[in-house]
Amino acid sequence: MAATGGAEMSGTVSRPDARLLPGRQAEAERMLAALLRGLAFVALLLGALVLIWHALIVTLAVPAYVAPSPQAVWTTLTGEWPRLSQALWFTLRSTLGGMAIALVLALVLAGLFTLSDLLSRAFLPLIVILRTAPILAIAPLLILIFGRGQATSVAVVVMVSFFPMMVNAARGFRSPKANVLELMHVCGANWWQIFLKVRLPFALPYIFTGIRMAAAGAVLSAMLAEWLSGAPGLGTLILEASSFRRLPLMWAGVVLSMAAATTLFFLTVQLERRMTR
Amino acid sequence: MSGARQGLIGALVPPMLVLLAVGLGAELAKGLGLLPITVPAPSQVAAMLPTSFDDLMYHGARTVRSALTGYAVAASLALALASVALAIRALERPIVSMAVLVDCIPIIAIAPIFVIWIGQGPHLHVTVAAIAAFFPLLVGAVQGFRAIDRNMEELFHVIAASRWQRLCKLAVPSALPYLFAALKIAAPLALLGTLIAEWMGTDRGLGAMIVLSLFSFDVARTWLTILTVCGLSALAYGLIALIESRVVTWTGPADGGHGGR
Amino acid sequence: MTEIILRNVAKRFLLPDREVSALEGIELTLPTGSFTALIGPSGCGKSTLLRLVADVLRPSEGEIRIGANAPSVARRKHEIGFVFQEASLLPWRNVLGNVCLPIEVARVPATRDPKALVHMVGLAGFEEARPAQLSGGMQQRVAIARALALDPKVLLMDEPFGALDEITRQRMNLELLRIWKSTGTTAVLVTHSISEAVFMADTVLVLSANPGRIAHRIEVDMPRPRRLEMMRQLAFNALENEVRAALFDDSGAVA
Repeated sequence: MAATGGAEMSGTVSRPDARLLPGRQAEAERMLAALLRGLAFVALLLGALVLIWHALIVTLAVPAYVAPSPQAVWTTLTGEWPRLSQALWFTLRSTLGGMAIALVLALVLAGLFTLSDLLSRAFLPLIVILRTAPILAIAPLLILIFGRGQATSVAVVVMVSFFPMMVNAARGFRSPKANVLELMHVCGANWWQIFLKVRLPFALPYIFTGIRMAAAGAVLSAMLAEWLSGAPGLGTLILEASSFRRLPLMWAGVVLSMAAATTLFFLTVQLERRMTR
Repeated sequence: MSGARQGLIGALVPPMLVLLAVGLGAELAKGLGLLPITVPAPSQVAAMLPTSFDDLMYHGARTVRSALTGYAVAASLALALASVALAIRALERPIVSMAVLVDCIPIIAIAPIFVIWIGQGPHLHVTVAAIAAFFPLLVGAVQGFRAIDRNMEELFHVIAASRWQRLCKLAVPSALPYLFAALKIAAPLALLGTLIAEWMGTDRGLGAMIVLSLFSFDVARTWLTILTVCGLSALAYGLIALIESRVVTWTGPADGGHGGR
Repeated sequence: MTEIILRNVAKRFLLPDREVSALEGIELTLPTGSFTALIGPSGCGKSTLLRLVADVLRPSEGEIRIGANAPSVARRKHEIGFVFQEASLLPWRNVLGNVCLPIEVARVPATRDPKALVHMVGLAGFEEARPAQLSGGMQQRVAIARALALDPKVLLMDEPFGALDEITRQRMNLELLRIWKSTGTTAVLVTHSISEAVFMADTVLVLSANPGRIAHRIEVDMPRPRRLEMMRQLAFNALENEVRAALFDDSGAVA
């Protein structure tokens, strides 16, 4: 009764009424309103955070070396913008480039796995295990192999992003019900047609879930790689600023990286939401 | 029972063969001089084990202790917050949103701040480990408490069960599969958090050992240490999975849906 | 004396934009030890009616009595047994553990031996089995045994056999009638099946939708114990047709 209980309670009519479906324009208006609400919420949240930050520093008389005031960070953020933006751009390039490479790799491999049951039985368990392993721990090895340039950052992001994307894509490609696949088979579709018309559309929500999961850790991975390798990104900037005790600069870097990470994450969440609806 | 065992062997053999093939391939490639100097042959790494064993134990003990403490702190905090969310449904969304926000923050970005606040040393390692492991634990606990079947809730209402009885006999058992899935995912993350904190600078811990070997370009020793970390995390994962298989006997493994890093 | 009495009961649900009336003006007296079937189109509120009696929902208007008590009192005195459409067994408990659940919760000495209950629903030898190891029909037997564990005065069943195949369903119907006779509870069965309603009940109540009302009341004067052969009798078919006519009567369409 769980499934029909709600309907019963709300007293649904016996025939479905197509007019009750939301129209295209109403849908667009609703989404715009939701977007505006979301932006307003973020602005409000940020404002509140800055206010609380400021209030804490003033009321508790926090010394500048424990935490600088929002104004000090803002001054640094604008004053040192060329240096900060350069570092941010470097980190973002590694992050997005790494995620893109990982996505292509994951899709190709997961696609290949649908070809052969033995292949997926041999590799998928390893990939599932590696997905839960602390991949970032091997970042030092990648530095050994790829040297101290951007390649290492990209490689670390690829390593970390690949596994959630791969596991989800493989799950997605396997998600169509046997009925649908049998139907395509009866219709005489070949592997490629089945892949394009059935497996890929069915897998899209899974793939975007994988991207979202990867995004949560991608900026972190890029920064860690820079940190260990000394490449000129945000990670290195924060570390150097902290070792030279240039605390406002360090905080500016921290704020910037948090903003980048959260923005990337929420963009992918939105993307996933649109896809899974 | 033999069918299940056969299934297990069938599931284990192909990936094991792949691992073996990778190891043999690496050995062969190294022998033919195809691999760069930064990738040692598996035999070279294995040869490091006797001389480095004492070092591994010395550094490993500290890392394991920090990771375990952080893990326990994160698990207790996550359970407490999830219970609050269960008791006061209106707080569930704010709690989860806050957790998502915290999870988005790169640990590396806040680690230097924590160095300033609590200084270098084991406290820092425990804190970072707890932060790293916290999010999947919280999500698992909240999801678990949310997974209670509506009919079951009505049933417990009809038989006039008390709040406490509902928690013990319904909510906790329902949540167990999710909790274990989260515990499995969080264990390697706690280890990773400890490692990152140790990279910030310490003289004892596997993280310190990695950095030391890396800077002295001791390739085989770097690989050995990192493989040890991977082994430790696999061990933690396996232990929890073993406990899970003893406790959660009524269902297949649930998927926490949150990846590692 | 455990009659179920509903006086002028109404149930309305508040939606964000409007109020929906699920049940209006329900007047009912179900005598002690009777067997009543509720049948009607989707959305007629028959499940709501059952949940009102079980004190899962509160009426918006009117009064419900189980014996001398309000449903909330009867519930706390463990006088109500409820069977859901899905068996809703706790997957981490075995058959016996599930049957014992209400006894544990009530903290009273068992009025019935749980093992005897398992035996009565025909699951002797399965006491240690987990729900996942049982078929749908067997799971529903466990749910019935669980509902009977505290010797309830009323037994409320919400399409308990809706998910079962026809053959298992008829077998379960016979079992249920036997159990009901031996316990003497007042039984209410919500069902979608016309033949099940006629076969089981003393009285079939046909509900109409929007809002839910009792549109027809059909007395089944077939002798007890009921046997499957009766389903081939003309009198049985006539009753079935009467219910069918009542169902299609006002709306002209059954969802």
